[in-house]
Amino acid sequence: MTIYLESIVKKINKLFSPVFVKALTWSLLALVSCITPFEPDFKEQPDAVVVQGFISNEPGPYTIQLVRPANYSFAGYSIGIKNAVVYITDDAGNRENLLEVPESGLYKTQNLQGETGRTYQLHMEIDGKKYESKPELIRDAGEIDRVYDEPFQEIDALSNQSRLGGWNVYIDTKDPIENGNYYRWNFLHYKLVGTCGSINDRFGNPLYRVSCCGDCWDIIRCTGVNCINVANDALINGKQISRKQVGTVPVGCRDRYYLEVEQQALSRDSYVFWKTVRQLLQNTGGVFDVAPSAVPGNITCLSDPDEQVLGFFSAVGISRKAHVVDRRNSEIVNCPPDLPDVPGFPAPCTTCVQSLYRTPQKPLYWNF
Amino acid sequence: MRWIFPLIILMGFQLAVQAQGTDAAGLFGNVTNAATGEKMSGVSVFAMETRRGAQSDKNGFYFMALKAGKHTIKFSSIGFKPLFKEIELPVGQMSLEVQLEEDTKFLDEVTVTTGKPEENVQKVEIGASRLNIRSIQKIPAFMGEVDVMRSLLMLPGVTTVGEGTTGINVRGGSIDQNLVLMDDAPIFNTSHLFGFFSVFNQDAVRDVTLQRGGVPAQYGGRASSVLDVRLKYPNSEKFSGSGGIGLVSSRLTLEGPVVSRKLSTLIAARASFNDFLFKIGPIPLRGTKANFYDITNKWYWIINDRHELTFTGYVSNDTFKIPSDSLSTVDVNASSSLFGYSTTSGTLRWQFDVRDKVVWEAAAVLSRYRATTTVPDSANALDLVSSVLYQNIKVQYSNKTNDRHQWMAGGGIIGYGIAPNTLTPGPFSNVQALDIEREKSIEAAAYVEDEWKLSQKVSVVLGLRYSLFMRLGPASFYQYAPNQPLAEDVITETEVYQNGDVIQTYGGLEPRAALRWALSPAMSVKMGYNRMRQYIHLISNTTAALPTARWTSSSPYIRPQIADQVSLGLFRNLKNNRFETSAEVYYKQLQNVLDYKDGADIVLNPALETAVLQGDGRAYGLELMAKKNTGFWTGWVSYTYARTFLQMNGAFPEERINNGNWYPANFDRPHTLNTMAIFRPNLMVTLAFNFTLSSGRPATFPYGRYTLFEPTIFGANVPIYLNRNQDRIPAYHRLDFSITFDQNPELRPDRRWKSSWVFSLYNVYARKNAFSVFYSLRPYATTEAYKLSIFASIFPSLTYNFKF
Repeated sequence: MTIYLESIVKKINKLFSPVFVKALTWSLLALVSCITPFEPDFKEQPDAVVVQGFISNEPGPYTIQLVRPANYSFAGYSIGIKNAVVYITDDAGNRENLLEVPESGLYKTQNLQGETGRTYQLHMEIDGKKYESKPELIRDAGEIDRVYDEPFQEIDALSNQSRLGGWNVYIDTKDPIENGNYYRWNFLHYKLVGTCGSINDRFGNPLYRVSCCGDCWDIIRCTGVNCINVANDALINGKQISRKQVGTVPVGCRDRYYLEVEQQALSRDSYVFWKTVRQLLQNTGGVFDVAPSAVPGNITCLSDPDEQVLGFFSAVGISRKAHVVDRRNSEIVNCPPDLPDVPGFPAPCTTCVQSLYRTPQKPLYWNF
Repeated sequence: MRWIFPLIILMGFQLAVQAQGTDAAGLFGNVTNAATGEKMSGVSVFAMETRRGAQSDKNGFYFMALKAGKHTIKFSSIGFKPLFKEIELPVGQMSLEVQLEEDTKFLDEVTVTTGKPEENVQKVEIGASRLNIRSIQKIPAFMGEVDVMRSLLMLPGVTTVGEGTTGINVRGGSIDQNLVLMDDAPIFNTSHLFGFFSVFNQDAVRDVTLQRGGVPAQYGGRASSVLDVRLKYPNSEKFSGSGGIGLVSSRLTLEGPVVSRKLSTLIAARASFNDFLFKIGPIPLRGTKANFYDITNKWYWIINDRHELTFTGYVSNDTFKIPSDSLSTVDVNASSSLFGYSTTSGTLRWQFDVRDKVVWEAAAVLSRYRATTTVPDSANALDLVSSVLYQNIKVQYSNKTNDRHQWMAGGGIIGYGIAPNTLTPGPFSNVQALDIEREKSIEAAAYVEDEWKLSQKVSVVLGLRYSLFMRLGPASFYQYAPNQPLAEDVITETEVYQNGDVIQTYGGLEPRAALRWALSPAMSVKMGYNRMRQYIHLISNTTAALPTARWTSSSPYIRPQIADQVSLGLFRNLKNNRFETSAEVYYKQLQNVLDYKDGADIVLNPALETAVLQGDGRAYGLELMAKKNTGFWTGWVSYTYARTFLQMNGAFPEERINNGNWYPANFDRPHTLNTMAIFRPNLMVTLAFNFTLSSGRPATFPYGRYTLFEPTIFGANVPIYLNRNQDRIPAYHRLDFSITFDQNPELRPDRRWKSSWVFSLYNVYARKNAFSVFYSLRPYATTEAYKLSIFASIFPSLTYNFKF
């Protein structure tokens, strides 16, 4: 009896790992199952084209990425496709050619501005073969009625005590009467930072902070599979979408946490694409997981209709709403101390470089 | 009245004796079970000196013509101690009442067929395996739970997609192609706790028969096999009970006469008490609740010599509460959810013995399966309910008076009511109510079957069944634009049918045939052919079907599945039936097999026809088996080679799987080796070993990957899957062991309370058998591929069983 219980407890502890969070839902399985590495057979480098990118009603430039996929059996990289002819047409007969960013497989628009209600189509010519996407419509994303947050408690694994775990962020929005609306939500956090760089010792450990020469914001995005937050209105058609959780704010410094929620209107195909991607990324191989399947795309090869073309070109209607989570009275804090300033005066500063993760531009609704 | 037939024989014999005027004599009497008082049929009565034999009939009566004088008569039956009687037979008749005692020493632990061992060779049926509950109890059990369904996996031709999953796959059929009957009532979900344990209570089951080839004409409605689970008749002589205390569940069975020898009843209950396992687990698991119970009740009323009535009632219930779960299949977020499913069934059966070997039987059956999912959160509160209701009335007449033609005929009508999914929002919920239309249909069938003895050596069973299916209104069906694949966006209009309208009719003949050619008393060749039609289907896109998986009836868009199977077998017994061997081959062709479309939604889809595909299937295999029936060591070895392929080749690319090429089914496991060995050195100890080895099942592995070009999930690798089921997970093998300690019956033979301890080890060498292989998509992971093992460790368990 005791031997048995011990083995169960041991198993449970082993299972208490992030890999298995989903399988925890099938807790009974969790009691007895386990996950170990596996060496599959080597497979050849796939020869296919992956097309990814979107156009939206927000200002461009819009970027399309063309790559050849990597092998699964070792840590390979996708290889960018060079010298392709890429252009986007719309339903008004306009055409814009995309410019290649050298050595990257990226192609950028120059002047194109997506408009709600217009239909766009992507065309490509790669190694003499012609490809095109299905026409995609930019739909009206509607307005988010309300963004709000609620603190939640979690149980500390060490002390078994309940404590503040953070804040869940929810939205309410109205779904139009007509059927067949598909949504996706994104979550962006802007954080005003004073540090734009560091001075390191010879081992690469940071010693001193280098401040920014002006205002600078870090952009922190929701990352991970759960951020593919899609929904359809099959169950809520024409009603309020309420308490849709769009993100979580962790316990941190006692400050005001600024975030923007992005509501996207998708086409059905695009919804199915993201839903399938999410399913694939969440797959733990469990008993009740949906069996893996090909991700349906919207791009076909005109020269060879049997060729598999991967990826998706979407047209997205976007609306945004900002929200501030007030953490100033938070009962617990997790605020890492800053590095010391560089000794001497005046302290050096460094510029805030615009990237996916940092911006010198004040966020749209920042008013404090 | 039961005595009429024996009396006739005796009178006939009397006349014969008088006519001959010799030293002719006759021995007759009844054979009863010493423990229960039941009449025993099929007992072999054998005169040792003259080597003449007879058998007791179904009322336990035997008669044997002998010469007057000294004889040693041997009474024997499998599972009972043979009884030798020395008699001095006078001219004329002598009556000898005999009671046989159960043989606790050399039980037929692994007898796959009950009754006589030579039945294997002599019966006409092919592809049938019968396991009695005592045999099943000897197979080492997972967590000590004796499991009828899992024990079937030890038989050739039976596989599963993986451990801990519901249902079995028989000769290339999917799990819904098995008709599982418990005293005539179909069971739509055979497992407790999502597939860990089966719903049958070992104390109530008498035996199970799996028909996987040459299915008799009386059965129909499913394409692959029939699993007939027969419950015990309650003891009508004395009150008794049995039960057990195990790690997972505990059970108690009581049976006895209500009116002595007239009316008796049996009630068997089983319930799980395993919540404590979660309470000692880590915090996220502590809110989990998993419980099940089942109650079996059987009444047996002997109205008079000719009429008897039985009633079987069965209730089974599972509840499973999960503290946090995203109901991803229905796109609703929830912080907790409650799953539950239940089976309720009742069978009323009347048997009328018109005269010996002429029987009328009639039965009324009701069975309901219901699955629910409940989310209590106020804004998203919902109740998702699905159910299947089965109502059946049937009648059968059998006449076995003619030695050359033993025939039967019958018919029945089944009413199905399927409620695919009803979603009811809570009072403050924003979830929209959704009620997918009820599906109403009836299935009627009539059949005749004749077992025709052409000669001493050759016998055939010829059967013909006609089944007719009607999908009835009220219903509404979408009409789709022609020359396009079925999809939601090409719906043109909705056609509405009123109550009573016949929307669609399917039907056809289902011939069944079996032939036995006895090459010698210990060797025969058998052949079988059957066609089966299946009108209701289970649709699932998960590896193992969920209890909430959707049942659907055939419609104008979903056609019935049809299976044709031919099989050929060689059966040979050696050393006076001590060893049984058999070899069977089969080929099966399936029409309108169902598979799901990639990425399709099934649960709440009002247009299910857009989510599924129908195509062809073929399965073939070889099944070898060798069995040792008696001795200190008993057991069997079986090897199966079996393949199953499907082809979905629709008119449009969207309606093809793997470009319309043949692909292996989910449960295609080419090689399987099963070994079972039982050693019983003395009366107190039984050791059992069970080893199984099989090829891994097919899986879909990624062909490559690409990195998502998307800031949100930057760096996530999306696997590229091209063709379904082109790879295989690693092979599966496992050894189990169990040891049973019984009380020494010789020490205190008069003691009523008998108990035993069963200690079992499941997966003795703790192999981490793969259930599935999946790929990590985290950019920082060092290993890409992982395998998930379900029962990944050694599982010891201890069970205490008692009987009084």
